[in-house]
Amino acid sequence: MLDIKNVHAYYGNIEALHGVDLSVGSKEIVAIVGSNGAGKTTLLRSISGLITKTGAISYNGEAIDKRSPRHIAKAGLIHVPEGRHVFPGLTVEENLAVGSVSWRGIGKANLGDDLEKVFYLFARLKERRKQYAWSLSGGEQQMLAIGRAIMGRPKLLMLDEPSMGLAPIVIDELFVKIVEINSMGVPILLVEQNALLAMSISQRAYILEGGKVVLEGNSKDLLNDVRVREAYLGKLKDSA
Amino acid sequence: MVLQLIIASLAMGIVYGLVAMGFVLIWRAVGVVNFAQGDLLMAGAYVAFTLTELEGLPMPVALVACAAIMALVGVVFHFLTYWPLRKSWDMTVIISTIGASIALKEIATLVWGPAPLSVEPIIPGIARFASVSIEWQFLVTIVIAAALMGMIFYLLEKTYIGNILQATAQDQYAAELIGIPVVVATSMTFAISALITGIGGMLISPIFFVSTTMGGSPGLKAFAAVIIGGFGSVPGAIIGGIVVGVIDTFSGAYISSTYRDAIVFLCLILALLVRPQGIFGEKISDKV
Ligand SMILES: Nc1ncnc2c1ncn2[C@@H]1O[C@H](COP(=O)(O)OP(=O)(O)OP(=O)(O)O)[C@@H](O)[C@H]1O
Ligand SMILES: [Mg+2]
Repeated sequence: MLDIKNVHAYYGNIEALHGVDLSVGSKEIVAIVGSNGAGKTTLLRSISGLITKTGAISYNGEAIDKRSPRHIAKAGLIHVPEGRHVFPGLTVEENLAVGSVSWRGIGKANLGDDLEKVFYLFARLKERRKQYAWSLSGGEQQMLAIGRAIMGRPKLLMLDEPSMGLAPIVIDELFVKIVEINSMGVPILLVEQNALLAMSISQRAYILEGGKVVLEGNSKDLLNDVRVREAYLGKLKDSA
Repeated sequence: MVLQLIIASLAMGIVYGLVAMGFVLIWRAVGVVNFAQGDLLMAGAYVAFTLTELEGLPMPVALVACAAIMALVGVVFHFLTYWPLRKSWDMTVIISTIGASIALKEIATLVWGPAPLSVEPIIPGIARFASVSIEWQFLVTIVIAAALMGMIFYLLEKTYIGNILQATAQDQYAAELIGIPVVVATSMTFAISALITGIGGMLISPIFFVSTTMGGSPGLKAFAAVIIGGFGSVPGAIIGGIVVGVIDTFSGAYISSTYRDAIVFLCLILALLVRPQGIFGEKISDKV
């Protein structure tokens, strides 16, 4: 459903992606792994229309590479950015309500079912719904960022390093929820530095280095690949 | 005498509060101080002059029309001074607001001429309560400004659209990603800022002469109000405005009307020494 062909992305004159091909199927969790500066965030930004690029990106056969970020969100491709970016001065409830803007515009809407879905996934958010987002813990802010994206009725969810800065136990809890969201019928494109974690919940994975896909395949196969083990499993000990 | 002064200082204070709120809205939305805020007050006063003195519109109609025109001025202001420069350094935008301040004064001179103009009060005359007599204009100013503040506060804090404006002000990047039309949201914030400031100008136009430089002193005092209230806080701006209004009016009456501006800034410096973060501090610690 999401198809990316030969994408080159630029920050000014600097080329950060050098021809990336990638696809996500309608029921999949697809992981993008790679070290710092590999271009993972840049790839998500390219999909979301936030950066200058060339190449073709289509979603369900429709070209979206010339679209604005707002139109891409409206089409259901919702990007949860690296570092969460919740709205600090709004309450949990207000953050969630604002998340519905992609399909709702500025009109009235009944958010009951959407809120119920988010609170079912993240009961902690329900307890904290009157609290300002700045007062939440890192894990709760990540839940809120994902919850806000779910309010946008995603047809494809893009998560940029959801595990960043969280305790292992919180990460485990969060990744169970990510799998659950996927089982509700939402395909997920998951960016992670933590390769083992990302490959353990995804069906397929791409390994990005220096703005290029260097390896791709089934996550299971990649986990057993010697090159992957050499390059990433060593790091796992300190990143876990 | 004291009661009259209190009413007069509340009236001035609440207008400073409106302008201060205008400052804060733009500051929170785009992170720059708008040096043309006082000139938007001046523009509101000239628009009010045209609507009431030249067109002879009844007061409620003139009020709504002035609000609508100033909202439009705010949108134009947004697209000329901020939007084309949004990706550049903050200082560039600040300088562009200084340019807008000069341009607004020049436009006013071209359209309305250099001579100061006078505007009739919304309700002329004096209200008498027992032994106290108070100018109606002060009471009208307090009521209209308070109602306007209440409406804006409700819009921003309690409605979905207000939350969209706040979200855009707090994190433009995230706002864009979740599908908020950022350009609509920021121009709406500028519209609200210009509207409340312009109505402030309309309300004080019968108290002072309408002139191209009339925005200078209220602009500075509103800026002092923003600092006293705590930079970035809307309730702080309102309280700060009233504090400045009281100091301003009372020092004018009891100490020296020549040095009242200087006294306000002396108090500002004292306040900063005692409580540098202002009354309300920053609600969101430097936008996190
Ligand atoms: N705003 C920017 N301006 C210029 N260059 C940038 C910018 N953002 C990223 N880059 C460069 O683009 C390349 C890819 O960066 P990107 O942020 O996509 O990496 P990443 O894989 O997400 O890394 P991390 O795991 O650290 O988040 C890097 O070389 C980086 O220095
Ligand atoms: Mg990144």
